[in-house]
Amino acid sequence: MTRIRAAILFSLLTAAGCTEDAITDVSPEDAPGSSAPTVEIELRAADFVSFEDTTYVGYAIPGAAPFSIVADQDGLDSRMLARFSTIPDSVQVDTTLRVAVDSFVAASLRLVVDTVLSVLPDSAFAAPFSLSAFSLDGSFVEREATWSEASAGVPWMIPGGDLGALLGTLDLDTLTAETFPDTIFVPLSGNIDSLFTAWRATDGEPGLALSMEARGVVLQVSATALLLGAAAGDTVVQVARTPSEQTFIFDPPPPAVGLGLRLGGLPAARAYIRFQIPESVAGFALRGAVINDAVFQLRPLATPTDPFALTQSIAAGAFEVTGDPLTEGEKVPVGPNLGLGAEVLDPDSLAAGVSLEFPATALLQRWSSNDTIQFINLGLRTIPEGTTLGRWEFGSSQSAPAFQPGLRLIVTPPTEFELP
Amino acid sequence: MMNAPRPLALQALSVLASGLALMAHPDVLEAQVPVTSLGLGAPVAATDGRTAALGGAAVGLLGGSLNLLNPADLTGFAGNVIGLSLNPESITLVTAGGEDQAKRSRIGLMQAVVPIGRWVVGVGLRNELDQDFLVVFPDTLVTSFGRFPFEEKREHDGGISSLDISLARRVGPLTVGVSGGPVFGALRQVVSRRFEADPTGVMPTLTPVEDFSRLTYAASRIRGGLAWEADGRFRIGGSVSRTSALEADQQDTGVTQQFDMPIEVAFGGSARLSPKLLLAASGGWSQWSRAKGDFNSVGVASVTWAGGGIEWSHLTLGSASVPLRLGYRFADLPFFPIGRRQARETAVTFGLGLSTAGGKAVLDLSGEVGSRGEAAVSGFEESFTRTALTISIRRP
Repeated sequence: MTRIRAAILFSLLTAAGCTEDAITDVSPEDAPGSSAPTVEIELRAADFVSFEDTTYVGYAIPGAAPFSIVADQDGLDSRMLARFSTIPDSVQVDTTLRVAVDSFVAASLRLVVDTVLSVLPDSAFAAPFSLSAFSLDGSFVEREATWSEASAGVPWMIPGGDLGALLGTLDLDTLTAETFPDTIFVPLSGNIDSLFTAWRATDGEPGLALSMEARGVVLQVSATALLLGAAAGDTVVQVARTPSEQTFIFDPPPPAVGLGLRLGGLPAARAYIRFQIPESVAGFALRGAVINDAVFQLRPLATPTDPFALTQSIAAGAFEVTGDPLTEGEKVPVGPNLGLGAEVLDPDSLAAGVSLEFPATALLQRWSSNDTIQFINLGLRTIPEGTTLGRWEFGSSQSAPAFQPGLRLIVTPPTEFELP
Repeated sequence: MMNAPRPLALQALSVLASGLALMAHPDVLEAQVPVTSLGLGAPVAATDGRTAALGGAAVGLLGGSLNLLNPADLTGFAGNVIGLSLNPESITLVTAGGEDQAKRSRIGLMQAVVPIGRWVVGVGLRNELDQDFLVVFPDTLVTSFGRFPFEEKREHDGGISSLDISLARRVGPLTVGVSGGPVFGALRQVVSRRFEADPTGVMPTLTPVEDFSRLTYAASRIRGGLAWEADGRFRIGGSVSRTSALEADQQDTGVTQQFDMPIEVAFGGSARLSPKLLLAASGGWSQWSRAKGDFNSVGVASVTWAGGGIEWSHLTLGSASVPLRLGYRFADLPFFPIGRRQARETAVTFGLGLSTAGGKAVLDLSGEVGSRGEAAVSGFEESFTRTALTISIRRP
């Protein structure tokens, strides 16, 4: 009833008068009417009602990565492991005729190399620079193999994989970063017919390892295939097979997560955060305020040690988490992304200490307008995950205040309209 | 005390220094406040076009006028009347940068008068205090990571009106009138802030701000008045009114505040000096000072007003008389910035009337050219031109 009466009165007044033109030549200090200032507020972890964070690791593993690394560096040794379980016993010789394979007469490994992400010599190597394929003496489990273990709890006889017979070598001495081709072929020799017949019988067990001898070189292999020359009668047919299982093992292993929040790497790490925003800060009401802009900030710690420092820019994004990540662990359900785009983890920028910022305006606006939201749960990850060994660590709530994560807000508190 | 004569060069320097001082004077810089933003707003001279052209001399006006100042003046009309007065106003506001223009339009008054035997009944609605203003200005938010230009808009839309039900009875040459009714109003306050988008796309575009509040006002008023008329050649009258405390209720917060409203006295008269010449004058006083303690952000003082004019009915258009009117008025404004002096509104008024259809339809048009306030003294300064266009239908 009061609303109706007020509406009628207001209508009468509206009919009685109105301002048609605005006064524009007025200074903000002297302008009549009420207004609330828009202010910038920065909250570090210690400023929140509560702020908890952690890092979980293992969201992408080398065995699921879209690449393999073969390296022989001072700080990194890495080998590729592969298994081919689909060695054919027959081949298609034309569109209608399929005949049995009599023997395998030639074989090579075709490797597509990402020369941009690889570390290649600037000039021709004086020392040997070669890639060698070895038959493995023991089997490996793709998702579990590491430099020290063939599978979980089963160590290699020799760390780095139990290398057996040498299957072939590709000398790369004359190649440099400028001349390195995108695709290379490692020829396999010896009794290859016997080898592949045996692999066919054992579903590719135990597999092969690709190792490199060339100090300082890192090859990032983005695609692998086994090319076979299969003799069928008087015809030799070339067939290609991709690995049924493939991973890479490396040494040293990634350092354990410390107090910092980690993003990226392999196995891939995510940072999870749960915080409770104060209702007001320094007399400015946050709850109920207009959140003009909000970003969640991560402050980078020192550059990680090689070989785990990020060497090229990758993307990262923040996402909401529908449960408490601190109690539900690494499998806490993932919610919608914060913002539409991704942020760039630029190693130069991070090394310079520039904060990584994730847009959080919509999230904070929801918090501001809904009294029932107490805690905000966030996750942070690289996009996509598992694309590089490189990673970065950021300050956590346990870090010194200058490195603590937090929020930077542009806020306009509710206007306190004055009576005349 | 007179100053001793000074050398010409020194005088010139002095004039130059005075000019510079004036340019930098904070009074001028502060003179950007529309009068409608002060206190309960700017009083509206809610009269018809005839009265407005006669300097606001509404009380005791021969021939009747549409106004709600004196219920006894209802008997000034010869029959039924219904009228509507439109009051568009153009304002020039003195600002730091020079001048700024604004326009307002309002229905100042609606009134109906119905004689019933010896009694006359009137119903009227008038705009009393205008709180409308709209200011738009640019500003910049400076943050640790960049500057964000924005445009801020502050708008007040509303004011205070009154509904008046009047009753008057003629007793010989004397008329006694009483009136009463609600004083009511509403005010919608809106503030918005729109940030400019960064054309490079590097900086975020900040979410705009829009906030509003609504006030309602409520009070009641009673008024009593007398009028005395002699042979259609001379009429005087006066009235006193009392308004209860105005309660302002902020709808969204539930905060309420009461404002004492003034006791108002109005008086005036008119005389027909010849068949074609009429002289009219009115004045009054409103005791706004009793509300002093109710306002924190503005000063309040009682108001005196007066005005008068002449009506010359020599011209004709066809068979219709076209009276010409000229007048002058002044009125104090009740609200002013704290630390300043009360401002006064003055205006030269003029206008004409046109009666058609044998006097059944009357159109009165007036113009006012005036000013209110003085930047250096009252903290604001406006000049204005106001028009009153009144259309009334009359049945003898």
